[in-house]
Amino acid sequence: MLLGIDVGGTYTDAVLVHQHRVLRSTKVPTTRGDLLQGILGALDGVLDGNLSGDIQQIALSTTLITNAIVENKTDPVGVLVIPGPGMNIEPILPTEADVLTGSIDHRGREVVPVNRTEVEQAVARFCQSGIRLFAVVGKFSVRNPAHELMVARWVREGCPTAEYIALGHRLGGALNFPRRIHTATLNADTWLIYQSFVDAVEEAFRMRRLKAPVVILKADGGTLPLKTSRDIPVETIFTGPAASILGIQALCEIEQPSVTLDVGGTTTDIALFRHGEPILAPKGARVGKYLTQVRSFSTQSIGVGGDSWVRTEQGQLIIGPERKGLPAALGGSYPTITDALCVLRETGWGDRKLAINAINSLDLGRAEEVAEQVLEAAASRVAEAVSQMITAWEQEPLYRVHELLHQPNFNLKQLVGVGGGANGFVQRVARKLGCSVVLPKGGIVANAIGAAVSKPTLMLTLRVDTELKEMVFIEEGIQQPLLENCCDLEGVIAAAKERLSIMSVAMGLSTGEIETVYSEIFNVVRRNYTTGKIITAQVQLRPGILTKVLWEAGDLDVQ
Amino acid sequence: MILMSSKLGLVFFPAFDWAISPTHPEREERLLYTRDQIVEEGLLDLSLIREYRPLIADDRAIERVHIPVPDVSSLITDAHRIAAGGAITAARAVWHKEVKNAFALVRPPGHHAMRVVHGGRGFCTINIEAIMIENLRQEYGLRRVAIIDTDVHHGDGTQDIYYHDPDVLFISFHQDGRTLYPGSGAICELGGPNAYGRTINIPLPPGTGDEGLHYITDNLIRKVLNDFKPELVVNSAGQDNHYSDPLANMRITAQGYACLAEKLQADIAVLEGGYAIEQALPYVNVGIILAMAGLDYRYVKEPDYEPLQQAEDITAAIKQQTADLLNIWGNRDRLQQEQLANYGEYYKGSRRIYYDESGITAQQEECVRLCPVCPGFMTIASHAVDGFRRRTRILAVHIPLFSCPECRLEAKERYNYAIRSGQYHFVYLQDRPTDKLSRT
Repeated sequence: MLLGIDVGGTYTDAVLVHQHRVLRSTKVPTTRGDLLQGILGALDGVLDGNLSGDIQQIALSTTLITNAIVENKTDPVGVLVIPGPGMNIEPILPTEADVLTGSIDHRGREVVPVNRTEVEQAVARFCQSGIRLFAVVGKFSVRNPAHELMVARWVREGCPTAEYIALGHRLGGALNFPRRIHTATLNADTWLIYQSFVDAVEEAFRMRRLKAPVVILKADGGTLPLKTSRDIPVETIFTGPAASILGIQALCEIEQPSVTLDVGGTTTDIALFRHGEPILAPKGARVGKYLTQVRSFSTQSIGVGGDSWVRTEQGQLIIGPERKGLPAALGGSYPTITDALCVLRETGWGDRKLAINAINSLDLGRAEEVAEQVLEAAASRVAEAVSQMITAWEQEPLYRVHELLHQPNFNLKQLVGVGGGANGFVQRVARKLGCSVVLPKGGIVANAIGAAVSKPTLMLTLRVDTELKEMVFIEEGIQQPLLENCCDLEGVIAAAKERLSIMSVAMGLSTGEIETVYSEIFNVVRRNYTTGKIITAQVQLRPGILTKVLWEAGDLDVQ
Repeated sequence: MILMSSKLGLVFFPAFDWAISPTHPEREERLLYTRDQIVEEGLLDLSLIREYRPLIADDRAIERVHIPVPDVSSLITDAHRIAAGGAITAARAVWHKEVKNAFALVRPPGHHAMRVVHGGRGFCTINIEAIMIENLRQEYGLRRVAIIDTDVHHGDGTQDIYYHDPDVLFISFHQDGRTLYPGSGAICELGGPNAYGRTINIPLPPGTGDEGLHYITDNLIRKVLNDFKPELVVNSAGQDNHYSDPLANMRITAQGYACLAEKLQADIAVLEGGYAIEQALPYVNVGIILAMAGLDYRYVKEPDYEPLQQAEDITAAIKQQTADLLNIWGNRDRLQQEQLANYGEYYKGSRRIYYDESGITAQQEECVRLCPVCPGFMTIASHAVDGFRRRTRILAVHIPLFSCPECRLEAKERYNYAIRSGQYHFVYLQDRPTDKLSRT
């Protein structure tokens, strides 16, 4: 049996999946002040005492980290950056930042050393103002992390009360200094919040005597053991959308080029699928105003959802992005998109009289016609966002002649809708886009289903230095002499995949396909001579689902 | 309608899978370190920069400039089409006001490619700036253009294409041709009689630094640009004046280049040469991008940067040269009348061109009608001999886009006459008003 829990901003969902079927599912309010209660409530909704032993895997997804970032409820961080020459970094720095001297060039050579006195003074200032979380990020630190490591040591020495220091080069191998700054800063400023989330989850599982391995979803649909995730909270941003995407994969077949819409209360999340696989964001996730290096599905959130507040301003119909509580049809006080659907008898629930009253309050004419107008306007917004996302994918810059000559169009064929507000609304979006519609049953708890059936993944980074003739498996900290076949990129990727495959078997994971998450090769130059190569390959068991889920009419209704 | 934007459009196409040959300076890695620097700086994420994917230029786009012998596809690869297409993409973005200015950071370069193409010369086969400009002229009616070639090598291809076009101002500064490829670009090359003074060459002594560069920019280039009043300013942005360039001997820094970009305020910059792929290009390109986007470039600096002092005799030589050129520019109308008086109805010239990439030598005879009302049609007879002593004789008749009916008529007569004469392997008619290149 697989247990999936999605801790959302408003609701916590849980499902129990057994042999392609959802045995139980529940939806309880998230208790923001005391997370434990909400999680326990969700557990109790799907478990009775004697089931606990049969659970093989518990998987979590949550939007808590994303929400904390978007709502600016994170903790202060002392950010130490080493930009060296280049663009003026000041305008993009987080507020609590100190710019240090020192520079490393694009080949990983030290040009200017870091200055210990300067670092110690900066650390003392942060430490005295009560800062306990730090981020240290250097330009080109992924080419040579020496400066970051040195500064981190001086932070530990100079500020004994420091609880956590995020290092830029540890959180993503790719180049992009501003994204590395934001990724490290977000990792540090959500660190404390994340510890209390993990504490609450572990406590809840202990209280209910759940002993199965616990994983948390990443934004790219992969998983992390909950313990390992403690130091990389930033990887858990957007696990909500990732869970929903896996849920969609579990609930239906997506072979054709498709767009999925998760229509929630406040927002509609859009994702793109090609060849049955969700498309990844090319450089990393965007969280609120921050561009990060977090590997993530390419998703976009539009402020149009079932509960979006519908109103008129100067005779113009305005939809969202604010939400003013429940739809009128369910006892709320303001007209919403759900009310428009209810007026047109497309919801199958809610009080239609209340909905009609709410729509009439817009004072635009006959309720049915106005409801149709409301849905048309909302569908247009979403259809436009979908088109823009497809265009952006098709226009994504390419840097090779071969790629440019063979780049296909997206060629959208179907729209897949899940989430509470999908039915009735998604059909209208599809009409605008001229494609077919699929509304998988069970889509209302797609997130928790996605979490439950997520395939456990494992990631491994191999770094080879041909000058020092050594290879390092970074996560395990294993260093060994260089093997002969590991002197080029292909060889290193193959060696990384081989080791990952052995580890997966040892851990009892199904191996399946292994994907290359990131790879890079560059020459080490000393005194104008190329003396060796540094080759990095990061590989991961391809994320996906353990099992398809069949939702049948008799399955639990979670409304 | 999109309103005027303050954005920089960037077409970045490093062609990581294309080289002239594996050991040639124009090879896969040329923009690799530039890519590293641009990506690490996060420039492509800035809201002030909009990245565009290049279009692929078709034969028609290329034939608006070139007489390809025997035809376009036997001369070039897809990479050339993308470099030209990248420049066109950048220009369209500016023309449609989606962005304020644009930088086509593409390769291979093009400024040594002349109108008649028998092969490649100086790493160039087709002239990507000229293709960009002629496509804007054909599609949108653009007429008056200024091109400033800041590559260390004389932009002889661009000069050739616009030598007789009174609507195009071509300014090139470069290391003195007596010390560097291609050898041309002397002060006395000032344009054909009907476009006299519209070509300005500023040969600089080897060892010229930022000081000399900014002296000519402030005292000469800006003055000439202001007087000419172009609708569009194009910068052929070669980066091999840099002090670390392995193929030349100048001493310009990344700061010097960035500051030049800020002063020129070009609508479109197109990358040309620059082969210090590791020590110069990453910094020069970041500097130019920041300057064109209106961002702070003060902190862009090469790792081995040391302040350079320009030698006094160089400074003196540059000042003298600037004074001479300003004098010519000031008297250009009178000088043009004198030039026209030297010729009758036609201007005739001859020269020998070496296509070094292809080992082809061509003897060319050029004849331009000195039309009183239009730029005048032109014929180019080219007699090429390759390394195996195989000969190709062609005649090209070029009718300019903004030509008069009389010139058009006479040009067509020449074309038909040349076909009947049987002297040539191929006879071309580049008829710009009907947007067609015919070959017989």
